[in-house]
Amino acid sequence: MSIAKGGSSANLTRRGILGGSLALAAGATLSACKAGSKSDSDSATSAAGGTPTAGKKVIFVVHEKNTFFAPVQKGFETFGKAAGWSTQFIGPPQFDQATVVNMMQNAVNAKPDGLILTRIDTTSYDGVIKAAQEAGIPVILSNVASDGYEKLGVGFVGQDFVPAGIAAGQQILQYIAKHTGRRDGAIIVGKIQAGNSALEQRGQGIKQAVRDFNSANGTNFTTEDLIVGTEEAGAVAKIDGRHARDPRSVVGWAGTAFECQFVATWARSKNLVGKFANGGFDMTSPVLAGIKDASIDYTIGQNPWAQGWVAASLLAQQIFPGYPSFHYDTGAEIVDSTNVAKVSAREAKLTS
Amino acid sequence: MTTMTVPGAPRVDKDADPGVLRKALGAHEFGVLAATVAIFLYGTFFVNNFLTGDNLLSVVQQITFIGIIGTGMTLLIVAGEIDLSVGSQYGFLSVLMAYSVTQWQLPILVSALLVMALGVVTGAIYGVITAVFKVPSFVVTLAGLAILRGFALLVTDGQPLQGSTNSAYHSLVGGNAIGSLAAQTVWMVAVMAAFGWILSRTKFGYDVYATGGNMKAALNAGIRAVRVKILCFCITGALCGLASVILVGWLGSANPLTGNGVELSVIAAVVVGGASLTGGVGSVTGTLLGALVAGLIGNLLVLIGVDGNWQQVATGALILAAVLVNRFIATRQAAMR
Repeated sequence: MSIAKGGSSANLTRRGILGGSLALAAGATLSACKAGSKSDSDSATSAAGGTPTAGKKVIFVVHEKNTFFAPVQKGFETFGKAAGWSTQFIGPPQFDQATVVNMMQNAVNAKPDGLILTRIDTTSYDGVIKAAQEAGIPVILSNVASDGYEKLGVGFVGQDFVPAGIAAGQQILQYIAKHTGRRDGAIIVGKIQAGNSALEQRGQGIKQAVRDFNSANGTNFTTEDLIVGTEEAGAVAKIDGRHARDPRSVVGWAGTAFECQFVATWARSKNLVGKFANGGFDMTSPVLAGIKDASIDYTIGQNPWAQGWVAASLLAQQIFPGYPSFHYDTGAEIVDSTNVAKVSAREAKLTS
Repeated sequence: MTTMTVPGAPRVDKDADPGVLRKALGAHEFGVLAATVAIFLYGTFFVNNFLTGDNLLSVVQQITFIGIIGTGMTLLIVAGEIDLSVGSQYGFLSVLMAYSVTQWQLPILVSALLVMALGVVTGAIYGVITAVFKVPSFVVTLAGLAILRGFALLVTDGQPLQGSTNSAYHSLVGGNAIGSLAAQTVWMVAVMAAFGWILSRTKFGYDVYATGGNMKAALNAGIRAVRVKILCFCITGALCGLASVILVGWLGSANPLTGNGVELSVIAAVVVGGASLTGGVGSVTGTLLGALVAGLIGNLLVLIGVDGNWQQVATGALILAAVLVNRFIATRQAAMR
């Protein structure tokens, strides 16, 4: 049964109101978000109005916003504030090739005065980098550049990944000797993500160090890859699964990023700390805490602060007076029990 | 149908043609249309660099993959099923496209057909397990999500693969068709127009709605509902294949993590576009608008200068607003019947 009461005008009014409300809600949400993010950039602009690049808008797009990038963002925004820039730091919550390209394209469309990007493979991002350059927007790469970036005429601020991987390989071998005394066994090369050229190159470095060590010392260590992801519960399950397959075979966990923190969580829960070597890269809070409680032996830092701050400063001199950017190696700082307190104090400044 | 007239009110025959305006206002797509217009107007009046040809064309280009895969997902959701593996399928088929061109050195056309055929086969497997063996599609395709991502990682050993450097291939799928209009946009429009027509104007489209609306009734009416569902899975697989062919031609490489989380964006576009997850309701036009809303929001948030973390909040809030409007309209329509 239906009731016809010629009520179309009533529907129209309500829907009109609804549509209008949605428009207002959309506008209000966007405005609120802008207001939320505006304070930093506005205060930045007023704080240092006298610099040559004051008032410039610079956007930093990363391939995935994870915990590693927090100090990168801080370094970038600190330089931006000092220079009087309006800064924006964006990236998808999880990596997807096309999503990253689209985000970079949106950044180009915003017509900023400079762009800082991560280039995690050798072709996918070149189109958007060239589009930015054609639009007259200076570009610099940070964190990861991948092979062939030089042909694009852009600078890069980040680690030399293969030498850093070799340093990590030498560390894991040293701690395997300390914890197990063995001359054979599997070293698990952990990865938080597949398809990331930086992690692959670090992994190559680790494997090279192990091969060189085997040749020089007659040992028989093997390496195998394990992709664990960035979600802790899933990562711990994968680590546990690999260990359960053949517990005696594993002598060391050599991460290519911060997955050593997941190994530490798992080892603590299984009372296995000290039964094998565990180390990785990056200086996130859980990694440094793991070194303090000895569930992690070492980590290799890559100065994430510089990947934001130095990248921004090179971009600044590219904008004014116009010096071309160059490659700046952010190094491979070894952090272990001997210096972790000092490093932790330094890193804490980035989150305060 | 019995019609009761309220005394004093002008009599309206509900079975009469309701008129274009009323039809538009009562459509399931009204909420997303209102959202699209509202966001567009906001951008036009308040955001620098929004209302430029290049930017708007860029937004449309950015929704290509959501639009193409979303077209298949629309058919599936209207038919009362879902495919949670589309992101992994798109990723695996991208990797396979790059691999077959560079490692097996197959001609590009053969590789493209192979990839699309594999998408059809994957869809057929899902369809048979779901429609014949009565296993819920979200379980079947959830398993497929994991399996196909695993295959993508196995094929690539975790490394990005180079695609073809063939310039004709790049121009056909990744270049510009006319001026700044991207070729991939043309592909998306062609796919959506074709399937929009099929869904709304053909016997097959009618069968899809009937199957999703009430499968038992559809079977009683002589509709081969099982076959309809299997076909919808196959079409979705083929469109994942097409999206992969376009992606590899456009970017020149395939990453094993391609399509990570894309299933959620696709389902969001379809649902925001007015489709009902219970089946029987939805349209390709709605999906296009749903994808457009997501694209416009992503674009505007960058142009406005919103911090990355806030972008997630704003995107979710605006999608929720559009869905609530759709829900409100559906409730009103039900009450009016």
